[in-house]
Amino acid sequence: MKWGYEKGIIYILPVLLIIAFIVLFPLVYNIYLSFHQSSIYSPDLNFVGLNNYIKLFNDQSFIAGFKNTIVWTIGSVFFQILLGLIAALLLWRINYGKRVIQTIIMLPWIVPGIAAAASWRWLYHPDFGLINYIFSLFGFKSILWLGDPDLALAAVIVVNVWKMYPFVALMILARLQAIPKSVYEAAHIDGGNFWQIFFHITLPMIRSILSVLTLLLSIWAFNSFTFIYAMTGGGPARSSEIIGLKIYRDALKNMMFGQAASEALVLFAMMLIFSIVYLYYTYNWREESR
Amino acid sequence: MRPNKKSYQKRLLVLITYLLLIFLAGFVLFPLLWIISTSIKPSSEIFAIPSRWIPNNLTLQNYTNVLFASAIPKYFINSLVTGLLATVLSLILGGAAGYGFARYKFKGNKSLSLFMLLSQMLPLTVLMIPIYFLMLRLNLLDSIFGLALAHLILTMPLVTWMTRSYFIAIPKELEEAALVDGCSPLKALFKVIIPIAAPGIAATGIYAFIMSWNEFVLASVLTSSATARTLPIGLTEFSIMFEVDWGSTMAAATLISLPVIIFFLWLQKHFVQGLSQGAVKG
Repeated sequence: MKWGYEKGIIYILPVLLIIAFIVLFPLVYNIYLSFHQSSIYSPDLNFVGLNNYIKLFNDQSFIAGFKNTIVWTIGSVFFQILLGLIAALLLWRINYGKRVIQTIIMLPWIVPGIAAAASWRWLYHPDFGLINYIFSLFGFKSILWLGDPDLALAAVIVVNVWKMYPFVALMILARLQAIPKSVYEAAHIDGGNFWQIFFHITLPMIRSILSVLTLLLSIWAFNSFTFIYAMTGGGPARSSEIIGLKIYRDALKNMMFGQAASEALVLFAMMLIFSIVYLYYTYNWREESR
Repeated sequence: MRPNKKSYQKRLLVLITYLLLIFLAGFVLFPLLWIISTSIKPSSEIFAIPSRWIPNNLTLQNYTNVLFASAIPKYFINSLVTGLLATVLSLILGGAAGYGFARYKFKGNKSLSLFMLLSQMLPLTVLMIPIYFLMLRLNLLDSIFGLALAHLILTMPLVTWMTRSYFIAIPKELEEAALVDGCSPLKALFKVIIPIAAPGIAATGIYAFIMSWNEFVLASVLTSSATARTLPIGLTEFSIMFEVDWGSTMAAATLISLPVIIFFLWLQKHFVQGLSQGAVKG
């Protein structure tokens, strides 16, 4: 039996057509939209060339939104990886109760994001929230977690870390468990201490999954929407508004579809450039270290 | 050498490991338990200070509010139908594609399967506006079918990619043996290959269903009434509807989360396996 024939394409064609229809076509249409203008007063699309893009560079709320997106992404990814790595290393060391703890830790990742957002909003409630209650036991005054421009973004980052670090832990643990035991036995016999073993054996072994995870989490954080939308709505005073929210606001609240489309494409282009540069460097780095 | 000191250190290390893990598990659990705790409190106790984990007067009032005095039951059906539609379409078409990618060597196999993976990473923030226009033109705004179609953006590449890895793991010789025995290729697929891959396919399907069930962005852009709104949208609408009725919001959050948690606990093994295979290899 030959598997080489072109028949294989028949199996794949339907999916390709659907993806073209719901992913590629919208992407192209988004480019078309970005050269047009509409508003809540004149919903018809008028061609305006690059006008929307030029406007972006003078739009303070776009620049602020971009800064927030960077802070949000770096804060989220750093702590997601850190906490996920710690959890994975801890889980890897134990035998008894591993399954139960692993199951518990996975729960935030599976719970609908919007339900998590609602519960955290309630936890952060300035007057009746559990978090402020716990803080009050230590003599703190009521803190406006989501209502303070300096705290709102950080407070939602905590939720994003809570939601995604389980996924990181699971991925790293899967990789750790694939390392043959003999590698570590040899290191112990050679008298390596904990840190030496971690930096010279464990870390190189999980480096590839760490770099994949960093890229994935960055892309997800860069494009996230739900948590901030549901918890602060971008407020107070747009202090936690990331680009994803601004796109939504411009498109669906202000009917400025062309403007929103250009924002979405700038966001997408930045993400693409970041991914390519990132992949280029991690790839080179790994090649060198071999 | 010094066996006593060594074993003492080891035990201390194990103790610290467990303490840290319990702390991490606590960080995970306390918001979830607080949802349940709030959902069974009467409003007088919800706003009581000091806060209590277990209410003095346990009540199901919040649940009856959600189930009998809101649109949540209708949204539940919408979520169910949307999820099932998206899952079935993804499994049939994406499963076929996964099989095609795994078994047939044709020009562009590698680049096309990579393209599938990349299409999944395309941000919804980029797609949400054009998808809105697409559904507007197709007259599929605020319809369950339209939303299910949009959810294929998430589920189709995932199912294709995951089933591909399941099919690759099954040796070709099995099919070839069936063909030698006189099976048609299609019969070999259905009688030999699919039964072997069934657990993995089922887990993939449930994963796809959960993605659709939890999805918020597309649902909020594409739906505007109880005709097609799903549970995640219902939850936000809900807190506006009752102003700050935290009890009912938490009851609704519990009801939305329960099905996915049950699915997860039930199929955890396949889930974890499939995910680490699918994603790590990707």
